[in-house]
Amino acid sequence: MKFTRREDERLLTGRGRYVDDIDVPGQVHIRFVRSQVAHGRIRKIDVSDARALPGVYGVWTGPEIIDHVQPLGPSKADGGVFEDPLFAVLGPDAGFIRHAQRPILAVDIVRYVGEPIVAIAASDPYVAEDAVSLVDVSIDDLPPLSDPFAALADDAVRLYDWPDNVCLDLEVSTGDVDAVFSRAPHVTRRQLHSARVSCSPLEGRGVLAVPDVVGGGITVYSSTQIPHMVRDAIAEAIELPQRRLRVVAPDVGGGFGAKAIPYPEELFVPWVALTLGRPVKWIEDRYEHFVSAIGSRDQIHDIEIALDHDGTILGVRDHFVSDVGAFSPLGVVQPYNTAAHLAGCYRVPNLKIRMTSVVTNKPPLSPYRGAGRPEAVFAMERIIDIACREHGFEPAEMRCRNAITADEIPYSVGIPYRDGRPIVYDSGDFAACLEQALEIAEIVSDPVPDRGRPVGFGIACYVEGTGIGPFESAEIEMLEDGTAVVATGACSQGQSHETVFARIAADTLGLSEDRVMLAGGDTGASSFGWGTLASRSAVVAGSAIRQASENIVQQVAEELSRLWEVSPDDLVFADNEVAVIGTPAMSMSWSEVIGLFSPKRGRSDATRNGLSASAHFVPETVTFANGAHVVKVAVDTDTGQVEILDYVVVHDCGPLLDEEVVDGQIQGGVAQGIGAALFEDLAFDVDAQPLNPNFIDYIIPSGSEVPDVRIEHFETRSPRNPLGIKGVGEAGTIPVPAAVLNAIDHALRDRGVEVVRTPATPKMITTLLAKGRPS
Amino acid sequence: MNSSADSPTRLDVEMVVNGEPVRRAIEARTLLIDFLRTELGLTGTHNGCSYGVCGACTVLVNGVAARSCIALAAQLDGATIETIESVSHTERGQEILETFSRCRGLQCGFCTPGVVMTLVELDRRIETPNRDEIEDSIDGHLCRCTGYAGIKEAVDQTLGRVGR
Repeated sequence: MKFTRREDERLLTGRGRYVDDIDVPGQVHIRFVRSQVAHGRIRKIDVSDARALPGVYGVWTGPEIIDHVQPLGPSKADGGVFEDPLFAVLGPDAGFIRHAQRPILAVDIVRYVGEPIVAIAASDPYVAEDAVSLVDVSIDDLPPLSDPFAALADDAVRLYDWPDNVCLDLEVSTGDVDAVFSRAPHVTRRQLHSARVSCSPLEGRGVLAVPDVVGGGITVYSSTQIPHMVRDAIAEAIELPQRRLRVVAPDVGGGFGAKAIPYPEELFVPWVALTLGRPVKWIEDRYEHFVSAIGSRDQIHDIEIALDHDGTILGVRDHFVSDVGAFSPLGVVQPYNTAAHLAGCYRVPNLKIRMTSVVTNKPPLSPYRGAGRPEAVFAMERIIDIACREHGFEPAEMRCRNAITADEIPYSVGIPYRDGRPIVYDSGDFAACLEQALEIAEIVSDPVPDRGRPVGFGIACYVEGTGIGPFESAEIEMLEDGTAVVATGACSQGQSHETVFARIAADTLGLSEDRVMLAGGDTGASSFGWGTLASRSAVVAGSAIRQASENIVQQVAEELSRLWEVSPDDLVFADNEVAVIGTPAMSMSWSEVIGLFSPKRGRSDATRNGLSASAHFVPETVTFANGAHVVKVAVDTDTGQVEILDYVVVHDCGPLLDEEVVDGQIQGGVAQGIGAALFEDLAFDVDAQPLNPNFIDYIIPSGSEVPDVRIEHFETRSPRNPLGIKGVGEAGTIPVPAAVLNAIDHALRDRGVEVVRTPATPKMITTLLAKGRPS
Repeated sequence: MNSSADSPTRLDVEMVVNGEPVRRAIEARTLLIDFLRTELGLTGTHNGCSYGVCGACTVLVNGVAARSCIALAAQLDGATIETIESVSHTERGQEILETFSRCRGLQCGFCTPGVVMTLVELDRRIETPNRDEIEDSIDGHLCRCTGYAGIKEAVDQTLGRVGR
């Protein structure tokens, strides 16, 4: 059989290895008793019946493990490592951040429905579930916080030992915004809300911890995007030396941010395995994913825009509140991403953004694909459309007037990025990209109805800082048979790393792709690694692999130029051999080349330790991708249903490493954006009880709801990495809610409808139509 | 999965799974998906929701696509089951898998076995493919990665373009 991606053969024939597919003799299974109330004080936990059930190997409560498994502090994953530099740049008056410790199992207080209280290990998942039903937990209710504004009230119950429920309050600005607003000819202000959503990869989280047969160490298989950070977190939590711990991300069934932080369960399962001396497995079920994996978005913006007489943007002022739930493991990342991307593709000389994150009794919140950027683009691109309508500007023309052009690059936005470095757009032509999208979409200001349904166009543009540091690793080991093993800290959850990364190494080394094997996501294969998140892997891991491959080439060139007495520049690496250009007699296969470096040759030369190289790509800062989306919708005014008639994306991620992989990322990203725009709303009642924690009531799009996106590439090279590329993993998702809701408003332009909250459900649209005026 | 010490009721079941006769004594409550994955080691069938919505667990029961996460194995005594592991056993199956790969119908691959089994069933069952039936069948599968374009293309190429 012939397969396009190297991943495909095993994944298509049922031989993929996701964590639950790995079984180890003697393994036991963990299930958790989770809180059914959002806020309360634990009065009593009775586990005696559960302990007595045959087949149960262990039952643990929070107080019993608190001395053995340390609570989770703020994560260093993604942006945590940049928090200090960012605050240093912003200065002491910019604001503050507070971090809560997250217990592994609740102690005394529960703070969200779904928080783990008791853990049970049993011979099989069925018995573990039986035991869960035998645990009796008594909880005295405390007042639940289900709304961030209620949580800000002076008399609101405090979730932590803080003066209020604010865990982040920060302001960032450039120019003189207040002065501009006091004299601007046109000002428009709205409250705009991006609803809470769930990442919902089709495979939930899962952990299998296997004690080593000899040596006292442990191997942990986890469905994670960040195996190295999970290793570090486990080592810290259970005080295990890193050398005794190997963390592997096997095949992972989607991540999207849900698997980009270490979780309590991930630290607890290895401890149980060491305690019982048995392999221990925990597989998250779908309900648990909704209530205990992170949710995301959940921002309410109070945004205003000031325009000149001709529609030129004079300034933007925004204060947004994030409902981060009970814990915010990545603290500043999501809100600051929103701030850093708010100005987007446009010249905004005066900008002031205040971000306030509030703790409530919802499950924890952390970045999901887009990570604050969809929220930023939703606020900015919606306020632009609303302002255009209020003040009589054409949205497409107004955007083209304000979009940054190639001759303004490098363009300085005037505020720092979240790594503390100044935001300087390094490449692109945002105006030209937008114009191309408008042309392809054949946008018109007054589209004709489709089978009686009003039709509208929506536009949204975005920039995205991609390829963030601090670093990514690559280690290449050449084996004696002429093959290469490439290890990197980045790991795949469907992004085709085995195919694309192997190709980068193969192209540089002159090896055929089948002679390169990729080992991603295994701390046993590379000591250092950061992980796959934040649209970074192609940029930083790809660059590291390129650098390590070039290092190998250089070592070989030095050796062979000496041996053959030729210039290193005359060597050609191609077709699985190294040859002197124009001299067919002087060539050597890769396995012969590697033989030159083999310690088996018995020479005491210290360099003859085999042939390998390692590289750590450290970007100076992010590189900016950009793009424009134009969507055409029809709205059924009787039912409120929205049909997407056409979807156009013009995207600039630089030179394409693999066009079909890039297109797949964009198409899949747009699908998730359509979910957020039209369907997805992780809802809670006033008691902070989840209303739809399942795939029946929480609707993710199926095939009928997602059109085939028309994708065009606009390629400008990044100067910030050797491949000249910019990341693409999140891009497709970022502008979709803004574009779709802009299109709905445009379709209903004669009916006084203004949609200010995602998702634009049929019910919301019919309600707005009935009112016949802005909501 | 049957190591529980209080030994609940066990039932004998016999099935033909991927062409092989199997016979096991199982707990009455054992779900088909767990029977396949745990008893038989056929881990290509995945559990995405455990209540029959996402479609990842789809297998063929007597030739008909069915959700293995909401079927009890004991109910299927005597049944013929086909899972993703069997698709490459036939030439037509191999063509379908290659088409899926060529059309980029998968990224992470977790939902993929279920979608493929539905496609295998449609490919066999429908003599004159009906667009609505095909759409309904594919809509029974949630995929969070691909945005469905590659899946639809693979379906079209397998079944012949049907009015898309």
